[in-house]
Amino acid sequence: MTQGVFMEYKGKKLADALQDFWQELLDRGVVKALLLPMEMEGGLVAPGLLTDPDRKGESRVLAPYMPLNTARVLQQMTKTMPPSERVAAVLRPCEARALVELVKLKQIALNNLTVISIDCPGTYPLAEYKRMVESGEDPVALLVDKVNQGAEDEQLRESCKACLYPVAPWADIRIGFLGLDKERFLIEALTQGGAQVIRGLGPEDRDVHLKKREQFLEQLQAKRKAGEQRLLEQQQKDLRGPDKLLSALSSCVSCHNCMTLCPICYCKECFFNSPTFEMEADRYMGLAKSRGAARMPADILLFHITRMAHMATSCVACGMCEEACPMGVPVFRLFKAVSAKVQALFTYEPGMRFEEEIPIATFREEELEEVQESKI
Amino acid sequence: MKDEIKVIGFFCHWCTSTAADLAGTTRKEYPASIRPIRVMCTGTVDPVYVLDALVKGADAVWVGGCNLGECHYVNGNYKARRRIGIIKTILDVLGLDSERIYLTWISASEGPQFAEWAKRITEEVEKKGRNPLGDKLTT
Repeated sequence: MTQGVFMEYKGKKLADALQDFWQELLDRGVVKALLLPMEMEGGLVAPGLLTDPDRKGESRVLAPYMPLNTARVLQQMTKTMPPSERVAAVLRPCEARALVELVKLKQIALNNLTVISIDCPGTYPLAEYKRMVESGEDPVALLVDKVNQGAEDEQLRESCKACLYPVAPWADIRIGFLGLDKERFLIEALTQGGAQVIRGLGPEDRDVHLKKREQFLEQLQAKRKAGEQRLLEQQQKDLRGPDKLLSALSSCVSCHNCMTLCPICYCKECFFNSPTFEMEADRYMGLAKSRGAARMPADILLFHITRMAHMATSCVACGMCEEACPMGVPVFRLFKAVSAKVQALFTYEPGMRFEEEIPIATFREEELEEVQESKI
Repeated sequence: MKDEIKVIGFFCHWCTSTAADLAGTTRKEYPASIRPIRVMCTGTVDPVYVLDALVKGADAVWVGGCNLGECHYVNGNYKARRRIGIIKTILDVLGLDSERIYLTWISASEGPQFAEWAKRITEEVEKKGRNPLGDKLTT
């Protein structure tokens, strides 16, 4: 089911037209609040919960900067009790996909939640985004124009340059602007709930499958696929094997920011913060004696590969881990390479469908013969 | 002593651990390289323990459970197989040796098979040599 409406915004900016749309949703009372990127004190962007339509001007859904994966915020917001009034969350595709995984992991309740996804041409690392804002450039216009003209911006985050989902596979409402003419954007309702929210915005049931947009997205995906391939090859060349791997991890200071910012890493108490890994001095001594000398604190390699073992099946490749790393460890590149292979093992694509069980929660009787030894 | 290889075994209580006991009580000889840890089910073995053993320098990890379809907890061993599949894939991508992980299904009555596997794993790992992660500074 796809119902769609084209919204015209002649003579206005896309960003302003979207702000008008948020205002309309709040004015009509179909949602009581919007969780969306807003301009914070000082000019940077972070998720904010907007309830007053008069403050729509502070929303910045197009800003090509992503400080954290908002699915993580939704987990915090709904875990004690879901909202009693309807809230709409405006998410990038990687955030919407993380949300699907967290719903499957029973970490987000969808009660009273409307998910609005919005096309994402990519985001910049903090330093680059700051530079653009401070030098007075308009990062939104620059990036959207660039991408719509078919050019790729080398300054984008590694994960964005390899992202296969500039459009979310799932949402209640999907907002599209990639590959469309400058004067209009697209609002699609993909669920019954979404259709209710957008009812009355304009003529419905129009054919919203635009050849031009589809062709554009195909080309963009091909480019991103090539980016992904480059990334995987680079990992195999530069980061593979004990020595290269350990040298890549050598700057890690065990701050565990990658874990904190990962939307999928959800355990209330992580193994690595539990008494299991609180070693008494003599165990450190034993470790050192077994090899002559040992790096302190221990368990750096173990932390990263265990995180992979726990989450590679659900990793949506948002790249927040690498963005959060203060020490320049190529966490995303390692994670991407690993999760691509692990997800292929189970032919599982995270974030696509609610019905599909996550691989670690299920099994098949006939599979993975190569993993076990044959009988003797 | 320092050159003897070490294999950490995670054996399920109901089958492989019992088979290991049986191998002992029937006086089947097997190498002393195996360090068995009894767990209630292979399905309870979190990847972190398998990885911890390898990162800290064990030369191999051997996970042993009931035959498929005969798990005491119905399907724990199928879940263990998925987890081991994930671990092995990760190690392959990272260029660490995934062949240092063994997954076998040995029932409670198969004492001789347990001794046979202990020998085979020890031989294979001896041929490979020590775990290269065993003398790194970083764990």
